[in-house]
Amino acid sequence: MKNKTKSKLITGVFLFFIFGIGILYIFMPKNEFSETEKRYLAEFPEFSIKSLVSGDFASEFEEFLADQTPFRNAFVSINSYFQLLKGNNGSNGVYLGSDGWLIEKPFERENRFNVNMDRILKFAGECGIPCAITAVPSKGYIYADKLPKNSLEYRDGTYLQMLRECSQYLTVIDLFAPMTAAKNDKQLFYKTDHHWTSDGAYIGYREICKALNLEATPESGFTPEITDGFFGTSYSTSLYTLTKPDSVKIMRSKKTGGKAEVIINDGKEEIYDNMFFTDALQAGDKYVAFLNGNHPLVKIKTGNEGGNLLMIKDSFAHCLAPFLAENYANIIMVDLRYYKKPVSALISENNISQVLFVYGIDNLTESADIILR
Amino acid sequence: MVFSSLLFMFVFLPVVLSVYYILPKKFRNAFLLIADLVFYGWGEPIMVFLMIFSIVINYFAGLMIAKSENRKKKKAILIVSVVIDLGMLGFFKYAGFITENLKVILPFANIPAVNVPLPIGISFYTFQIMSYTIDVYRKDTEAQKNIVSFGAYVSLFPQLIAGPIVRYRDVDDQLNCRNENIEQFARGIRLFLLGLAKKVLLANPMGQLWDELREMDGGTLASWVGVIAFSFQIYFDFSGYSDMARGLGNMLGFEFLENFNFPYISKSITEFWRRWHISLGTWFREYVYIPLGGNRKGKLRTLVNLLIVWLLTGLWHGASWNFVLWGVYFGVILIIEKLFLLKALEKMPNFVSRIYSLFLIAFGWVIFYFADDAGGFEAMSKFIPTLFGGPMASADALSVILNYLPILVFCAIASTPLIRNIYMRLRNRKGFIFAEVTAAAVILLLCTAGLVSSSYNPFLYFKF
Repeated sequence: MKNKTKSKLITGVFLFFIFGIGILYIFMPKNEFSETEKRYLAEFPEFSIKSLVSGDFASEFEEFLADQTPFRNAFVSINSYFQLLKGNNGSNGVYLGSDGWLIEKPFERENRFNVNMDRILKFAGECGIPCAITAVPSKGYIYADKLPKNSLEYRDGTYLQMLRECSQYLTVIDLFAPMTAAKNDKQLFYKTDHHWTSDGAYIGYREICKALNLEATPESGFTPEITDGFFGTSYSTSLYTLTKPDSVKIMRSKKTGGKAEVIINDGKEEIYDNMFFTDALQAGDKYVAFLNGNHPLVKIKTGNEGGNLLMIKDSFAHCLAPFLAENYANIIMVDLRYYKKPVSALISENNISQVLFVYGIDNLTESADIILR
Repeated sequence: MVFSSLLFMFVFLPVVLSVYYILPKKFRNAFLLIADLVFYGWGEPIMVFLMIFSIVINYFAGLMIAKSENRKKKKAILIVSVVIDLGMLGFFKYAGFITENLKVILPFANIPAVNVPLPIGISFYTFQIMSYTIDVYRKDTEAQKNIVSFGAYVSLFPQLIAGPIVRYRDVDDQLNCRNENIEQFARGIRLFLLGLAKKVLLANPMGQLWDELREMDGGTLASWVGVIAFSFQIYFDFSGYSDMARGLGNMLGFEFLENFNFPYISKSITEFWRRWHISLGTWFREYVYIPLGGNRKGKLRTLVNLLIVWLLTGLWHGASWNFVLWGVYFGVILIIEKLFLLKALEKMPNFVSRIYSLFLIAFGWVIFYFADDAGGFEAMSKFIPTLFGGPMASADALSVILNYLPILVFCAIASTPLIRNIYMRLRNRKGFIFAEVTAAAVILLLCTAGLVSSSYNPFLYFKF
């Protein structure tokens, strides 16, 4: 081949690529919302002389280009697999483990565990109501055998031990041993999401009942409903797009069918008649099917007999609460990331008989929002 | 605007290339000037006026120097123009630094802090402009009569922000007449993609490794691997930029000189500085060292001249004391090599002189890294002891190093001429073009993927 022909060939490939993407920018339909990132994407900025002179137009235009790149998720996915190929598993914060397990990297070594526990213990000492705490171990700690060979150390053990040592101040419910014992029989976490599955949460329920002297409804007291095609947060963070989806299992109480009066308070109250939001099972984030995702304050009137439970929690509690509804008349769920009023007021207002802290251990060690008044 | 961005690759470059080649030749310089100013003013449009001011001042200075018959007058104009150029560089780059340091001295204790934004590339284009007026004064080149062509030279976007520092006399003819052709264009693409890959696929991950290791306090081995990673980052970043600049120049019909020549294979620091940022070294030799008398005025004067040049070289890299120290560090090493060490190094086995050079270069990068905004001397004095003592490596550090090991090894190989030599041998083989085109496509795809990924920010709060 002549030099000139070679030059033409390489020029053609280059120009095809840069002009191709440039033209696609113009003609591809723009996305308003990124389902995998759970955020609104930048739109074409409004032009004015003022914004041009200040440089705002320039920076907004670049955000627009970044957010609206044609085949954006495909490019991110290519990059994820390229990192893997280079031997840098976990570069995007998620390990690609064996058997299709996507596992978040361990939480930071320097963290707020002691600060958070001090606050919780202080609250437990002062509130005058029996308190209990349970921390859900990391996916990577329970399923360590699924991690890639070279991974950072999960320090859950250290913190779970520190938690156990608090048992003189409040009831500590240890999930490590029972979850480890059951992990091969059942899938206790989603492979593509950082949450535990209903099977995982059922173990939590059983252990909580044991510790609080309640009678746990056996698994046979629930009807499973399974929905396939769930790609969770571990998937959307990493975009290892060749991963197979999870299925979501809802466990409906045979007694109530999951029916309950659910009052969701986001500043104004909305009332629902079921703990399972099955519409969400048709959408992207299927974990929202459990009590409709994150809200500052959720009250559940279960229709069952029992005491009143205040759950101070993160989203791990969402698929646990429908089990606990079997044993309590009322469950109040508070998410301290969004609920900024005094928690102590809730105790007197709702005649609470038991307080339960439910956190994923990474959130318990890292959250800066555990402020208890 | 930077080359390794979606904006440049998929908007600016396609638009510039198409308009440039649609226009008849006589309009191309004018269009280039417009494109340059858009490129330059993109983030901060106000700075365009600064650039235009520089162009106008030096254009007329050049013309007047060339026209004037009177030697004294010529010199006076040159001095005025150089003072203005250096004055602007001094004000925008060093005013904050100078006032901050003056504050320590009592009579200046109350002077206000000067806080001006640094116009991008000012260190580079100021030096380019000065090469022009000085060369006109020395009659090494003719004055450019066309202000558009002159403006296009000063602000030429390929080398505007990170060099190479192109001397006017090296591109004089090309400014007036360029014969753009497909072979040169394709050469430009190859260079551009080579530079892009160096930047996105090598320098960026090395930067991440250095950041991770520096922050984790992982022991001696981790600190050294971190320093090596930073050495690779700065080399592939900077030389990648130069390659992209030269490649873009080719696409527009220009030829710029090489700026890096495998500096990490050097067998002495003297050799390193002949291979690293060649255009800067050339500039200082041409316009500072030789005018000071170079090595023609006795041994002592030579050493003083060297120290002056290296003090300035250090300061040129940034307004922070660590850069001054960095410059003096190399000045002193170069003097020692000149006095006796170079002869001794030549007698040693290659691997000894290479290790000697690499150690001093890498240690130099430690001084270079800790500028004021990276913690300054305080952070430096905390970091340096970790290089020479303490625990070897934590488990976390080892895990991180292992993650980056393949790319570290690749960087080491890519720092030598090995890959280029293989390419040179194979490129005329039948069918090699297909491998080359495939490589080009893969580089484009992976670099775009890398750029897009850095903007992919899952909203983490929804996680819990």
